[in-house]
Amino acid sequence: MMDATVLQLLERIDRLERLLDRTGGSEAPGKAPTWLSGSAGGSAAIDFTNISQAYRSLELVISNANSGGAVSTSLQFSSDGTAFDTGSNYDYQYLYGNAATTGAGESFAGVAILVANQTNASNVMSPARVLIPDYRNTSHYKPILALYGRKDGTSTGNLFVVQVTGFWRNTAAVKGIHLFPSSGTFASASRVDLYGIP
Amino acid sequence: MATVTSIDGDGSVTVRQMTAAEEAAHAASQASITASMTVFTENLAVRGRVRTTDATPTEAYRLALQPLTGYTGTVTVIGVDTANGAVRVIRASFAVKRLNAAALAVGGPVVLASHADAAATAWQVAASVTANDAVVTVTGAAGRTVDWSLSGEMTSFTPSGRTP
Repeated sequence: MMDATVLQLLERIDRLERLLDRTGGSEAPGKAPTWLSGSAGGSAAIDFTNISQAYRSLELVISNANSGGAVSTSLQFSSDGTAFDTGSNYDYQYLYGNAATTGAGESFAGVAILVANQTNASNVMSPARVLIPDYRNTSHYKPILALYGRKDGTSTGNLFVVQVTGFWRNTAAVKGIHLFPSSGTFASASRVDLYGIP
Repeated sequence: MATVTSIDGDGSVTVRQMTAAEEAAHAASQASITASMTVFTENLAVRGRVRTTDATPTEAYRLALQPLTGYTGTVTVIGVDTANGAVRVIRASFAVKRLNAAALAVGGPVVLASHADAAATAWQVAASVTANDAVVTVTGAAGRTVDWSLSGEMTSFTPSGRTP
């Protein structure tokens, strides 16, 4: 029979491990764990493959720029973890603000969902957050909600903020994410973090 | 050949060359995205609000024009004296454009409606172009605090399309 002190010690270790799982190890308490992250400088795409199905939702946090011009960053999903759906299976609606101008647009049956922009201005990265709720559900098409910005300069007309909702016409669980710029490559120091939300 | 940064569920990160099939799919997706993002015509909301306390022209709205694009729209300007409630209203149609250089007015604004209380007949609204921008200014009266609201809609057309 195991000693009671050892059992107490094991329970305390288990509680500590659970706490670290919830707080992302060394991350600040209350944040979802940073599950996967990487720098993509020089790459034409960044892929998250074989995504764990252990979370409730996923969130991408993107800080990116382009080595060429100011372009968009788009997203495609994979249902098997490695092969990405490049078919015309994506719909999205966007709403943007640029200086005092607002605008909106839509895309049906596209090959990807617009989720971020990339600037090529010096010392500037374009930020984005992409929420993918209930990504492992297998009964409905997968939605996303994105918020992103871009700064191309310091004069009027060079700031953008965009909100997007998009849908993948597939009921499969999301097991892979493919991010790519509409041209060129991710600039050095571009970074994408994937958070698993319990 | 293009590279892809691949991050696996186990946390491992690899940077590898795309396969020929991946690169072809990548190029096709990029082309499709760029085409779907190309905007030829846009409907833009015009909104502005400003306060004047003197008779100096004051900017109420500014729009940076895109190259090789024509714009037309209607704007309604309402000015209200915060003390005595005098009102000035002007509704106007306008057209501006930008080639590869600075913004240009296409004729002058056409006033569609003009209303004014007796105390507000001298208040003015003007449209102009400066550098690459179209600008609307309002002019109140010396010693009077006037709040101005500007609203309207504008349509743009870029024959060759552009990517916002």
